[in-house]
Order: sequence, then structure tokens, then C-alpha cells
Amino acid sequence: MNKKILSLVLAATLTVSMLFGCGNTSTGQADAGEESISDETIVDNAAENTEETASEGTITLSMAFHNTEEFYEESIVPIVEEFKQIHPEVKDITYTTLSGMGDEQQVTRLTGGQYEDIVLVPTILLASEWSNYFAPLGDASEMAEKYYYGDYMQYEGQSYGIPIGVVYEGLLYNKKVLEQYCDGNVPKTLDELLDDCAKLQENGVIGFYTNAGSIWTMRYWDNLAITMSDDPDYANKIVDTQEPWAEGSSLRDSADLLARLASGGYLEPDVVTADQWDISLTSLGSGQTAFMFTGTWALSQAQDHAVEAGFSADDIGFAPFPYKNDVNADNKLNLRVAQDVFLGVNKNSENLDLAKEFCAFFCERVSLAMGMNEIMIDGGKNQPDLAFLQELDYVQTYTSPARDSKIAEMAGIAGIDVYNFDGFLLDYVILPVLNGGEPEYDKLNEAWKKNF
Amino acid sequence: MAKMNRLAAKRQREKNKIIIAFLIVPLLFLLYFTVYPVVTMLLYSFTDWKGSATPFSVLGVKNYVEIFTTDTYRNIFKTASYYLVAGIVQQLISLFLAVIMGKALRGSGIFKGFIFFPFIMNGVAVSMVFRMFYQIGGGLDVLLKAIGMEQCIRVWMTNPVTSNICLAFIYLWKNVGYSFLIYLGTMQSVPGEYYDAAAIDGAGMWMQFKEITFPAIKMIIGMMVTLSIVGSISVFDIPYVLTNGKNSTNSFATTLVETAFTYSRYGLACAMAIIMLLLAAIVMVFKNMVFKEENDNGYNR
Amino acid sequence: MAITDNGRKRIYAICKYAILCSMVFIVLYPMLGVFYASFKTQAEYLSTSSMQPPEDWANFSNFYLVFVRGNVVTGFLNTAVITVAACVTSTLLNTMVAFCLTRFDFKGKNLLDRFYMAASFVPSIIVHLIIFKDFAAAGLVNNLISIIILYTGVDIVTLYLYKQYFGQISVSVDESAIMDGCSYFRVYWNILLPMVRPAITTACIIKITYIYNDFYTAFLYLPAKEKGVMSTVLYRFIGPYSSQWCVIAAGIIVVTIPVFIGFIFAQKQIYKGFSDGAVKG
Repeated sequence: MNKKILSLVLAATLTVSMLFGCGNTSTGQADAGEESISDETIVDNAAENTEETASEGTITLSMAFHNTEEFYEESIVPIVEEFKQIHPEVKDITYTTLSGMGDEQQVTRLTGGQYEDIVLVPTILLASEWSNYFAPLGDASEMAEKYYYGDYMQYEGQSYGIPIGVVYEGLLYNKKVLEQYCDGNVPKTLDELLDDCAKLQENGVIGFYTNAGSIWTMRYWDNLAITMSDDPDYANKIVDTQEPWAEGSSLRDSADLLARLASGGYLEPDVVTADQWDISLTSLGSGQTAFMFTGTWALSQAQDHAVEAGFSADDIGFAPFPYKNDVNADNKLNLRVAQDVFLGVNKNSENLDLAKEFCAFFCERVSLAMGMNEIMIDGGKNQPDLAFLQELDYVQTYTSPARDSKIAEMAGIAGIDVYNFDGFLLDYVILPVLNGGEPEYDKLNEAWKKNF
Repeated sequence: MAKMNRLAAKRQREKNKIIIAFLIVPLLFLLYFTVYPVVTMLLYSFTDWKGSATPFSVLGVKNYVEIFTTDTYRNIFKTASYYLVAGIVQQLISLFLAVIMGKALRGSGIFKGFIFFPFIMNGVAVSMVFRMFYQIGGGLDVLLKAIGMEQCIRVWMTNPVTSNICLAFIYLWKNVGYSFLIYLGTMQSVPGEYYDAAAIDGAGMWMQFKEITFPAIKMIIGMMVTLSIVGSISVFDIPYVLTNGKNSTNSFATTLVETAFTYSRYGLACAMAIIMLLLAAIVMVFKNMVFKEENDNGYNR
Repeated sequence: MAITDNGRKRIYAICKYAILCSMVFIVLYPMLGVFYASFKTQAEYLSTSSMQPPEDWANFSNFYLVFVRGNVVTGFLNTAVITVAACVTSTLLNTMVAFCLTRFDFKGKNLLDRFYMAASFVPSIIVHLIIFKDFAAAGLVNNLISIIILYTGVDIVTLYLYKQYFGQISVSVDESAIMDGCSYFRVYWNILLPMVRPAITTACIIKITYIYNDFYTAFLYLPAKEKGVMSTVLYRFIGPYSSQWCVIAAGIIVVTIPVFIGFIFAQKQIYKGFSDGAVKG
């Protein structure tokens, strides 16, 4: 008899969940249609919010971020406390860590409508999908005046994400190694860089640790193409280019540079195994590797690793990537100020305005703890170690405009994750070279042509 | 006579009732967790669905054509062949071990425990174990050095062939204990007297295996081989965690996930899922031809 | 004659042990690195070879962190609730289907069997993409019930096991009970279920192993910290960039040992489940 009851209960649970499933999804869609899109900027909302204040400490917001719970306790809790001072009606902001959660799980959570009020926008989500899940945070051009990359996540004039910080993309290097084998010169030109790599190789030091197996680490090499092209909008040109990797293109030049490093034997020996990030930092910190090409957010991590390996934090430095020769005040090196990840606001949040406000509040304050520069164009603080970059007369910084949303769709058709994670560089450029062949640009061009 | 008929009819009614009562919940589960998703996938496989409510258009069989005409997708079958070989080797090793262990052996409990151990290990654990095993100067290199085969040492993951072999070995390592356990259990069901009698008749180990053990475990071998063939196509976590499916280690399942989530081409991914199901179905039909299932002994036989 | 026979047996036995020992070596050797790592500090782990023993064997700080930060106790309790519930429900469902498949003839019987086979080949990640919204809409996310329902389904290996078992219990057993006035339900519940107890044990062990190791579903359906389960404990130490590999190594040991011990104790039952199930006729 018990069994019968149990099976009834089970059947009931299942049916109910199915019914609910259908019912709610359809209402959700209806809501989406009716919901008027607010054009007000966050600042305006903030003022309204304080007036609307209900009773004290009743509202609980939730957020999901890709850092660990440890980071939450150390660096996010103070921001939450500060926010609660301004908004006493907020009782708490709960935290769910997304670390270790794959992009596919994050997307499944979004499509299921089950996600936090303030949540990381998965990099793999198409721009055309943003408005299904995230609330518009304001007019893109207004956001761009306020924040670096404030308009980067724009779709049809609205911004859907605020960057958590900005970084420079360039070389992390080990000073001790350069002193020992390369006369202490930090390479300023491409020839110097290649000379250094050759000298380092003779002495058994890895030139570049690419971490190619981790995939996401490769994006800097595609961004290097933008830097090399002298055109901040270069990435978007790919939309109209049938053969982006044709001879003479910047994408080809940056990939060729990588291929040269690979064929010279300057890269780490195992470029395929994934998740070697910690190992690479220790390798850099302990002087087994001279360079890494990455964002400055990694600088403090690399310094920590150097200290752990028994060296000094000062041994790790940062320099612009020397991608050309004849560098001087008239022929400056471009240094890209780069975006990192973006936070969005759940468009179905019960406390939408408050969530939007906290999103901006959080993004304005979390950057330094993440090892990044702050996002505010006026008065944003920089990492103190990087102040020297402003004084180099042969360097000029630039930022990229919003990325054309067509790139991601075309990348899907071609099966090449260009300007996203750039894992293709491993399969089409590095590995063919390491296995004795040539980079397969023809295959890349051919795949991209499917779009036309 | 009439009474008999009535009784039979009553029994039939009761039978129908119990069938319905017993199968309704499992059927609902099957409908919701299998049929519904598969039908959805089938429908979406003819579209360019992008994973959400955004409108999409019907493409017809274009997705299917693309799968069979793209290099990346064809490489899947090459990758699967490595796991297929590993799956067959797995069956051979576990059968061999089960035969060895078949008869009472002192300390066999501990041995069984260790051989089964990898199967109960967490996926993260396994990937970490082998990342350390294959890394430069890791376990494998140390071992090769110790047995004087230093010249064989290389960077295991950068060559497409060695990396696939290394990954397939993990698959073998993890699953051998499972099939071993199943074979062992099945073999132990064969009464010992059969073997004694065979031994008296002068049958050697091989003859005993061929005449007694094999017929008893034929069905389960068929099932395990089928599962390992299909498993070779759908292997996911090993290449996904260790190499992200790079360097030609992409399996059907990793490519499917990449297509869906990295490239937001859910329609195409659905088409891949359907092809995977069809492949599995073909293997199953083939298996049923080779290993004819004996009928179950039901009431109505 | 007797001596040579004995001698041959001894050689056989030595060969057997040699093979088995080498198997154990193949199983354990790759794990040595993880074992070493669990006693190393992060810096030591990253700068030394994985096969180099730790400097300080008394460094239990990684294990301490696993227990404190990993929420092992909560995870263990949640996992216990899930496994118990899922074992009960899945045992019921599997045995009911197996009972019907082996005892009755009905339309679509073979089809049902094929469907269960096919079900095991549907890529689960896409399935979750399709069904997760229903669970979310029903408010079942971060609710243990969601995952119990997910683990309840009939799976092909377990079904096969039960079918074998039911198949070899003679139909005359049921028929005599029915003659005595038992209903079919009572035949299933009071007579057959107790007879297949060994198979239930085996099936539950397989299920527990599966639940214990499945992190994908657990992650998706139970993301909240207080709903953590054993399979997600390790993930608490994997950061977006930097991961605490040594703590993870210690976590692997902490997480795996209970299953290993459980297995050693239950193994007689497990083999019995397989072997009894296989006897034909």
C-alpha cells in the first residue's frame, strides 16, 4: 500500500512540475512583451529608490559572481556593508559562486529563468539574447561617457552589462631572468623580444608561457591584432572580410608572431593540457619562464606566486607588448586598455532598480581587489604598480568600441571562436607548427567564407 | 466452464490494472525525461535555434548535411575509434581478470576492491590524477625512466595520436573495474561442479572457458560491448576536462557541447544529438542480431 | 605426479598474484601524485614534480581546510538524504518495470525495453537545457526534491539486473501464491521483492556511486552553498583562475575514502547481486 501512495505522490509531483513548467514559461514570455523598457539611467533610479524605501531591512538581493566564497568574505562583504549604509531597506545580499561552473551551466541557468538578481553575463551568450535575460542598464552612449567599456555590451542602443574593471594587455615578465640572460633590458621592440627569446632558450628558460590549453588565455593574441592594426575598430572589420587571415592582415600577423614563437621552441612544452594557470604563474615567478602575454589583472597574482617561490614581488613587472620595431615617441606602441567580464541585472528581479544600483555600485568598487583598474573614466583609481605606464613617451593607450554582435554569430557558422576565447589558435596555428607543419590559414579563411 | 471463464476474465482485468498501475509513473518519467527532450531535439534539429525564445527559422536538413561535410565533425569518428579500442581492451582485460579470480583466491577481496576503486572515483579526481600523471616529469615519465625506456618520453599531449591514446587509457583505467565486477558476478553464478566435471574429462582452462563460462556470460558480454561501443562515441568528461577537446581529441559529446554553448548553434547540436541516437540504435540492432536475446519467462509463455 | 601437479598449481598461483599485483599497481600508481599533493603546500606543489614526496608528512592543513571550508558535513548530510530517497524511488520504479516486463505480455513491451536502452544515449547536457526551465518554474531549484526526481528514473543496467533476477524466479512461485488468493501486487511486494534483495543492494551501490560522483546535475540544480553535496565539495576550491590544488587533492581523499570503505564492506552483497542474477533457468 505504501508503495501505491508513494507512486501517486511521485506522479503528482511530476505532473505538477510539468504543468507549472508550461504555465510559468508562457506567463514569463507574456511579461517580457509587456514590460516597458526603462531608459532611465542608474543614477536617476537611485534617487527614486531612496524615496520608495519601505520598512527597514526587508529586501534581500542575490548575486552570482565567478570568484570564490573566500573572495566574497574578504572583498565583497565590505562593499555590501557600504551599500546597506546607503540603503537601510536592504537586509542582505546573498552570494552564489560560479567558480567551477562551466559556461554551459550558466547559460542553462539563464534559459531556465533561475538566476540571481545581479549575475555575470556569460561570454558565450549571443548579444541578441541579452534582452531575454538582462535588464537594460542605460543608454549606451551615456554609459560610455561614465565608464570604460560602458557601451561594450550594447545591443540596439542599450547597455546590458557593466565591466568589473579594466586592465592593460601586455607582457608580464620576470626581471631577474632578464637581468641574468638578457642584460636586464625589457624588450621595447619586436626584434629585441625575439632576441631575448633566443637567448633564453639557449639557457633553458621558457620564453612565453601561453596557457593555450586553457583556451580563454588566447584571447590576448587576437586582441594583439587590433593593437597591431592601429585601428581600435579593427575587430569589427572581420564582419565584412571574406578572408580575415589573408596575407598582410593584422590577424595573420599576430598569429604569425605566435607561430614564430612556437617554431622557435620558445613556448612552454605542454601547450595542450588545460588549466595550467597556477603552474604558469609559478613558472614565471620562479624564473623558469620569462614572459606571459596577458592582462594586468594577473600581475598581483604573479607577484604572489613569485613571493611563494622565494623571490620578491618586485621581480615581476609589466610592459607593453613590443609588436613592432622602430618604437619612439613618434611611432608609439599601442597599449590596449581591455575589458574583462561584465555584470548584468536579472530583468525579472523583484527589486529591479535596487539591483541595478547595486550592480553599478559593486562594479565601481570591486576592481582594485580583482587586480584591475577602476572603470570610472573620471576619477577611477589605477593599480599603483601601473602608474608608470602613463609616463612612457613611446606608449599610447586605446580602448575598443563595442563589438559587432554579428561576429559571434559568424564565428558560430565558421566554427572559429575568433575574438572570443580564441582556442582556434591552438588547433590551427600552434599545434600544426609544433608538429612540423605550417599554420593553417587557408583552412581558417575557408571556414570563415561559409558566412558569405 | 463459465466460472472458469469468469475467473480468467477477472484475472485478465486484474493483470491490466496492475500493468497500468506499475507502469504509469515510469512511463511518465520516460515521457518527460526522454521522449519529450528527444522530440524537442528532433524538431529543433531542423532549425537554427539559438537556445532561447528568440525566433528562429526552419532550415530543413541543412544541419545534418553540415555535420557530414565538415572536417571537425568527421574527426569525431577518428577520436571515437581510440575509445572503441579502449572499450574492447577493457572487456578483454576484465574478462581475463574475472577468469583468474573466478575460483577462490586468498585475499581476492582486497584485489577486487582496488580494481573497482577507479570506478567509484569522482570525475574531478580522475582528471586531476591524470593531469599529474601525464605532465612533464609526472608519473608516467618517472615510470618510463625507472624501467629504462627514457627514449620514449615525450610531451604526451601535444601530439594528436599520443594525446588520444593517453585519454583513451584513462577511459580504460576508470571503467575496467566496473565490467570486471559484472563479469565476475556473472561467472560466479556458474555452479562449480560444472568445472570439476570438465576438469575430470580433461578439459583445459581454455576449453572450460569456451564451453562453460562463455555461454553463461554471453548475454552480458553482448550488453557490455554494446555499451562500450556507444560509450566510445559519447565519451565526454575525459577530453573535456583535460584538453577541452583540442588537438583532435574532440569526441561527439564534446563537439556537441561546444557547438551548442560556445557557438550558440543549438539547432546544429540537436542534429548531432539525433545522429548520436541513431548511431546507438544501429549498434543496438546489430547487437540484437548477434546476440539473440532469449525470451523472458513470463506468465503467458 | 602429485608433486608436479602441486608445482604447476603453485606456478599458476604465483602468476595470478603477479598479474593482480600489477593491476593494483596500475590502479594506484597514477594516484600517488594526488596522495603526495594532499600533504604539500601550494607553493611546494607548483614548484616540485608530482612524484616527489612532500617535505612535511605532518602537514594536515589541506585536510583541515577541506572540512572547514568545504562544508563536508553539510555535503555529506545532503548527499545522504538524496541517496536514500533516490535509492528508494529508483528501486521501486525499476523493479516495477522489470516485474511487468518479465511477468506479463502486453502491447509495446519490446518497444518499452528499447526505449530504456535508447534513453541512456540521450546527451544529458542538452536534456537539462530543455527541462531545467520546468524545474526552475516549479520552484524546485535549490530543493533536494529536484535532484531526487532526476535520480529516480529507470536506467538500463539496473533494469537489466532486475530482469535477470525476476526472470529466474519460477513463475510457479507466483502462480501458487495467486491460487492462495494473493493479488498481483502482493506477489510483487510480499514475495518477489524480498527474493531479489541482493539485486537491490547491487543496484543501490551503482546508484550511490553515480550520485556521489555526478557534479553536473548537482551544480545546476543545487547551486546554493547550504545545499552542497559531496560531489561539489571539490569545486569549492577551484577558483576562476587560481585553484587550490593541494586542498582539492586532500578533498579527493576525504571524499573517496567513505565510498571505498563502504565498498569493501558491501562487496560480498554486490557480487551476490550480480551472480544470483545471472543464473539461467
